[in-house]
Order: sequence, then C-alpha cells, then structure tokens
Amino acid sequence: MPLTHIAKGLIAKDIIREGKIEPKDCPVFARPLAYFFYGRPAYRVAGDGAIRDAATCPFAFIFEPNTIERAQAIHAFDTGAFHNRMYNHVLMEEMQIDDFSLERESRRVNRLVYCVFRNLSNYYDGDTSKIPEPNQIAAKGDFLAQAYIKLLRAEGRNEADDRICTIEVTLGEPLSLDGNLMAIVVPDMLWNDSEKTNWIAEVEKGGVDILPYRFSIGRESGHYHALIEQEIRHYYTKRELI
Amino acid sequence: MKSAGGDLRIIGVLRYVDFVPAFGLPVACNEDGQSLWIQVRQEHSQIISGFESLEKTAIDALDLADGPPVAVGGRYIHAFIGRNDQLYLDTIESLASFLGVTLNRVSTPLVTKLAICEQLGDITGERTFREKLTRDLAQSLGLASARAYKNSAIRARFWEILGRASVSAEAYERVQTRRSRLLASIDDAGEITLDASAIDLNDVRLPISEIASQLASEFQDASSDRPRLPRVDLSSARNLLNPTALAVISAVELSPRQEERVALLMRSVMVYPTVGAEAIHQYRDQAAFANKALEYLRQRLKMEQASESERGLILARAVPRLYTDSYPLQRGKLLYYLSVHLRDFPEIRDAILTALDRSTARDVEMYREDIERVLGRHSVSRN
Repeated sequence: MPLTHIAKGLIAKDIIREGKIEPKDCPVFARPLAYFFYGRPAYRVAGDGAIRDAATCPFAFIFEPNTIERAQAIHAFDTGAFHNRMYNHVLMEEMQIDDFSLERESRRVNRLVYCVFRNLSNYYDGDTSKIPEPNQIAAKGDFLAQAYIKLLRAEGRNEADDRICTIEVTLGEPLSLDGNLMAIVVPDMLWNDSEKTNWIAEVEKGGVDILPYRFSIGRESGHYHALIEQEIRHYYTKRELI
Repeated sequence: MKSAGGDLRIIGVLRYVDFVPAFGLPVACNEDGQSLWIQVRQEHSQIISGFESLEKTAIDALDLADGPPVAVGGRYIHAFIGRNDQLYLDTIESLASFLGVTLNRVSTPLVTKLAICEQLGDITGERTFREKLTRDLAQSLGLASARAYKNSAIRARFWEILGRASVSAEAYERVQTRRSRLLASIDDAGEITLDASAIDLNDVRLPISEIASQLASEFQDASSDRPRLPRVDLSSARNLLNPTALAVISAVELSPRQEERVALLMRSVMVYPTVGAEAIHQYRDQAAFANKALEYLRQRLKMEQASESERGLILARAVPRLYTDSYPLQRGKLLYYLSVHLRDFPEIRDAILTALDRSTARDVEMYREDIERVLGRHSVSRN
C-alpha cells in the first residue's frame, strides 16, 4: 500500500514549496525523523474544534508503495501514542517501543496485516471485529504478539484510537515529492473557479493527482478527516491497491 | 469547547480565502478585551452551542467598534465580505436577501455561490453550483479531481442525513464516530453507491433506500431549468433531538414559502408527536393558504397518543384536501415540499404520489420529475 503523510495547510505549503518532507526532531526516538503511516491517513492535525481557515485544514500526501523500502524503522502502531502511554490499559510497563518493531522488513508489514486483519481492506477500515482471538494466531508464550492483539481487540476504542491499528513508517532522510508523490488531498477553498493556488498547481504539473474535498464553514476536524479517509480509500480501490 | 464567560461581542473577521465576495470567520471578544473566541454551532443548526478560544497571534486586524453581541443559545452570527470589501455581520435570516442578490451576480465565484446555498439550506442551488464546480474542476484538473470533489460532497451529505435521522443522541454519536466507514460515492454515470454497514440501521429512522432517493434527487441531473426552490428544515430547531414547540416554530418560520411551512409542521407531528401537535396548535401564519391548511390539521390532530402509523394516516388523508385548497399555480410547489419533508412516511408518500398521478396542473408538471425523484420512483443502485 502507499504511505500517507497528513499535515495542516500551513505545513503542507512548506512541504510542497521545498519539494520534500524533511525529518524533524523526534522526542520519542531522540533523532530527526519523518513520519508516515502505512495506507491509512491515521494522523490527526487538530483537536475537536472547528477548522478555522485554510492554514489549519488537513492535507493528505499519498506516496508510492515502494517508498516503504526507504524506511529507517517500521512499527506495528503509532509510537507517539505509545510514548504518551495511551496503550497502558493493555500493554505492560516493561514493554518497550522496539518490542513492536517490524524492523525494516517491508514484507513483514503485509504478513502482519494478513495475519491480524485478514485483508488490506479490513486493515484500511481499522475493522478490528474480524481479528481472531490472540491464542488463534499467536503462541501463548509469545507475550508481545498476545499483547498486541489484545490491544487491537480492546473494548471501548473510539475513532481517535485508530492509530493503534495503523502501521507507522519512519524515514531518517528527506523524502522528495518528485517521483514519489502519487496524489494529494486538498480543501476546495484552495482549488476552485476563483482560486487555483500556485503551489498546488506546481505539484499538479508533475503528474500528481489533486483530489479536492468540499470545505464547509463551521465543520470540526473529524469531518474533514473522515472525508479524506474515504477519498483515499476510493483512490486505492480505483488503482487496485486495496 | 471552553466556557467564554461574560458578554461577548463580534470584533472582527478572519478570512477563509483571499477573494471576495466570500464568507469569513467572525471573531468575538470578552468585555475585558483579553480573550478571543469563535462561535461553535450545534451540528446542522444556526444556534450557538458554545465558544472556542482563539489565539491572538492568529489575528491580523480586529477593529470593529459596534459588532453584534453573541451568546450561547442565540443565533449564529455570520460574516460575509462583499465584493467591495464591505463587511456584513448578521444572522443567516437577516443576510438572506443580500446573499440572494450576491447569488444572482454572474461575477460571484462559484465556490461562494455554493457556500451561500449551503448556509441558506437551498439544496437545489447547492446541486446547481456543485455541478458547475465539478465541471470546472474536470476541465482544469481532470476527471479524477472532479470525481473526488463530487464524492466528498455526497459523503458529507450522506453523513448529514444519517445524523439528522438518528433516533437518539447515542445513535447520533455512533453515526459521527463511524463516518469514515459510512461510504458514499457517485460515478460518472450518476450511479450512487452507499454502504452504511458500519452502523446498526435501527439507529436511523430513515431506510437506506429513502436516503438513496434523497441523495439521487440532490446529486443526479443538475441540468434542469426548473425554478430553484429554497429549502429549510427542522434541523435549525434548538435542541434538535428534543425540541420545544417554540423551537419547532422558530425553525418553520425560516422558510419563505407557506407550502413548505405547512409541510414542516406536518413533519414535526410525525417526528416529535406531542411537540409537533403543540406547534401546529400554537402557530399562526401570515399567509392565507397556510392558515387554512393548519386550521384543517388542528381539527384532525386532536387524537393524542396516536401511533406513528395512525398519525401518518391522518396526514395522508389531509394531502388531497391541502392540494385542493392550495393556489392553482402553487400546487407543484406544495407537492414538492410535502415530498421533500414527508417522503419517509409510507402512507403520506403514497398519498402524495396519488395526488401527483391525478394532477394535470401546469405547476405540478414543472416539478413532476423532481417530486418523483424525491419520492424514489427513479431507481438508484446501492449496497
């Protein structure tokens, strides 16, 4: 599957103008890293409040599937949430982030998806209802695998927790948009009959698909995130990536 | 959302876009001038449910000396920046005439026209301008962009309808939480595909087939030259899931057409039995047909504790009477509004179709296709 990177409009503009996604200092791993998610646009750019303007609207970058070959690390879930102890209701204190590393082996990613979610479609939807009992797919003595599956199957999850079941990919080097970017999902207020924003037009000239979504006054960030998630799903389906 | 505390007043506007005319974001301030706030609306409503703080660093110029006051429970204040950069701050009802003029100007950007129609609840206008924008995107960016854009619009509308049709506050929350898995798309041929398998369909009071029909009426075939009919609905009623009769009446009064006001009051009887009947007994209209229709309905709605089916039958029997009592040149509009607001109740839907089939009125002919589409006589595919 492609990799996704979500950013607020203000940041997205910088990314497009610079033509690359630069690693930033990461408090979790204490080194500069650029964060992506495998397939799903799981990252949230804002809280629950109403989106105020184009600068705070979410943009989604979709990168070629082979981008994962450049990964410095791949983890089974969002390490930021782990670092913030959001998984402590299931995972033990003694468990470390790297216990859930898939190393840099891209084939392990799909093996994990098929083992746990059964198919890419279920993974994309974050559909945990089809995940088997821990003992069905992991040995009883494999504590980490058991804990991971229990975490995914834990009751009381909500929309914001979909980061739990999204595979995280980090790059240690800048990722150029040129030749790697497949599509970008943008708000229509920056791309319509009166406004064709130059910096988006530059990307489009390079053959990147521009997928505008309808910006409606007063909506909260979750609304736009759901629109982006569905549009990317539709995009993958059309290209038989899912 | 935070509590603003104290009296708030609009003191300036943030621009969403660089062009005009366009809507902006009104910014409010406390009396002490120390904190900035933006209004938060209830979903699908014009009522202010709270305020969210805004960092001062995000503001460029705030210098309005006499901006209107805003408060929780009050009407949302919109900001509209006119073509000469003049600023208009008012409720959507007060801005409606001015926005209507802006809507009719050729030079107004399509995206602004679409935003105006969205805020006015003019679904026909939304459809027209959405189609134009989609064509514009298809020409300038290609079909993939146009398709993505139209799909984003139909998805937002699908979620909106599901949210409005939720049977309880808990059901509404479940719809909101699962939006990303409530799928909707429309292909180049206009075929609509829906998938609501992520929720329990008992959580919504409309069957998916009805929702599909409604979406088809809004998203298929925008080439019609029939006059655009403005539309409002009960969603602007304060405390949508459990409104008072006064809140229902306030929502009904937003409609500029008496035929729609009658249809909305009939819907309120179906959706909120006690409150709806109370609203019909309390409400007095300025227009002759509406008052005559309501007088008739008051006589028929004396039965308390009637089931939904019984209420449906009472209102279904009223349809031919209302048709006869309406002005001959407004009968098409009456059936159209009855269709839009009461299509989800089988007995009433059948009565509207019967009246439609029997009619040869010119006004009805003008809206016949729209009415049939709203009532689901045209099939759409769905999952």
